[in-house]
Amino acid sequence: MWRRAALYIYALVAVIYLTLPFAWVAAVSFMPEREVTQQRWWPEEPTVGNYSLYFDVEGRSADVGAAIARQFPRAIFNSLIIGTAVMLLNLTCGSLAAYALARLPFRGNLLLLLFYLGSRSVPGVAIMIPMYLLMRSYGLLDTHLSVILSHTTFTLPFTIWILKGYFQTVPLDLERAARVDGCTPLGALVRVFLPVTTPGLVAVGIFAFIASWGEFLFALLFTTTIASRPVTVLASDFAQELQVPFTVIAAGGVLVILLPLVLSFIFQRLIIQGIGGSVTG
Amino acid sequence: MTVIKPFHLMARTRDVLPLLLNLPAVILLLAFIAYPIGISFWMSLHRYNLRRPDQVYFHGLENYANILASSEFWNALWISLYFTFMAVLLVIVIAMAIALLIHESFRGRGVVRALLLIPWAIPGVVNGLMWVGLLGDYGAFNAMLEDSVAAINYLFGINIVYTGMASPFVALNAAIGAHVWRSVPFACIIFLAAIQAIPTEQYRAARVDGATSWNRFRFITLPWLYHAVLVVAIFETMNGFRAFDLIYALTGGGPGDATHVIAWQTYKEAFARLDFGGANAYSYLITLITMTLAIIYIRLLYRRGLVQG
Repeated sequence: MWRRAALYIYALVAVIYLTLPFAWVAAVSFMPEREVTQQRWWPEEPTVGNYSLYFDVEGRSADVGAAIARQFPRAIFNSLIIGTAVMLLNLTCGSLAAYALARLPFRGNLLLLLFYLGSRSVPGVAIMIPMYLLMRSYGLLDTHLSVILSHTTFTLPFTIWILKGYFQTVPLDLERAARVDGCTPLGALVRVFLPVTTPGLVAVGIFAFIASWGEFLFALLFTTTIASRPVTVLASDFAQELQVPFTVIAAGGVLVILLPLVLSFIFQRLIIQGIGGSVTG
Repeated sequence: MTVIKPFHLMARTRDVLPLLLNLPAVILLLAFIAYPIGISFWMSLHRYNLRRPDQVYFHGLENYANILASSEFWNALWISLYFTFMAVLLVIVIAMAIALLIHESFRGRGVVRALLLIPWAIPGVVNGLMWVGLLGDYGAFNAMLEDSVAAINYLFGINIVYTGMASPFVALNAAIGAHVWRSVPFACIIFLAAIQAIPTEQYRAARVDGATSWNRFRFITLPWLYHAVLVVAIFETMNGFRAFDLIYALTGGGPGDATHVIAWQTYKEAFARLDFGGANAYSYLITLITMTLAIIYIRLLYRRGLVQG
């Protein structure tokens, strides 16, 4: 009895820890500005005014922060393009490489594996300057492509690692059956491995998408105008503008978080199983 | 009857096809990680300031010597070491606590698990902005901190003046708290997977022997989790040294140089002073430090005999 009660108190503390910071910010995003200064926990007179600043471009262009807010829809669109491309590139390059590593042992596979692991441990700041110069010399600064390429390279090793674990769980009998039906190795990848490991592919794809959505350093370096700036970089402008009321910043924050949050809720089970199993296993 | 072989036993496909399949990934990583790393090292040996692009010349290890002689570097290194040490420790403790909870069976467990991913889904920059609000003048956590400082003052009859984020001590530790909050879910997922892999017979046997729940944790759970703890420690050490986006949004390195972590310092060298040579030397030193720490961890892993194969 007491054990049960203790467990529930424990669970309550954990839930509060995990949700309180975000819950407060979400609540503030619905408050009129004066309620924040009263240190409320819950909006007394809830308003969507903070959000309308992001969508009503004409009506409120004089408001503080409107210059940043009006670019939000476009920046979210940029993030979507970048994230989707990163996800697709990860799935394509990742599943090809992982399939070979998992099921077609060859000379040099250990070396490749170490190369992938090693490239994951390179910190972003260590390569930011050469990457910047590289993108500049190819004329890729301020394009989606520059961000897509950099995001893909730092997510890919992890993707390969996880997918390799998934492909190794596919029963050898299934592979033999595919052989009997006359499949080539690539045919087997498409017809047997990919369908069987769809949960893993989804987990890895969502993981890459969310990582790209949240990445900041390279996106900050490579993009200069709203033609390519993703939403994290745009949101960071709020850190420079000291006059913007926090209610507006909170609404912006919620808008940035919305998509990754929804995705992580929907695919929660897959992500937890996929990432956890492969990292330790 | 002929035995159908799996692909990897077929001589024909050996070597060529697997390498071909790895080609796209290898090209990407060579072009955008290996090549930049090489260039970065080359540049770190040069005098290269973007303000004087015509004066690029070989400089040997002088950039490194300058950095090692500067107080800014040692300050940044010290802050990063403190930041990383505290972050690794707190992430492991908190993530373990939550993983053990989720492993228990109780009603509402699914809810806790669903909420677990919230901090992880939040981009670092937005996390920084959030904590700016939480710890700002009207922030919810600021009020709590203020009240608890007042309570401590009252209880112990002392007089600590609370100045919020203007205090270097509060700013640095708040940054650590925010970083930890966002890092807990990933570590927790890894611990959860490791806990679920522990054979349940061991617990049953321990219970028969009358072991207390602390002893069951100490002598069964913990030994099984060494591997996962080390994996998390490696991940989090790297993450700690990389902390940049959070600092950018939360403190901007301030107040003063209180949160000048080493990634921030490198960014400053490169894009405020435009000293690309010096900044590359900086980034090489960071890489060296994280690699050294990773090697220490891996050696620990091997010494305990926990790595098979």
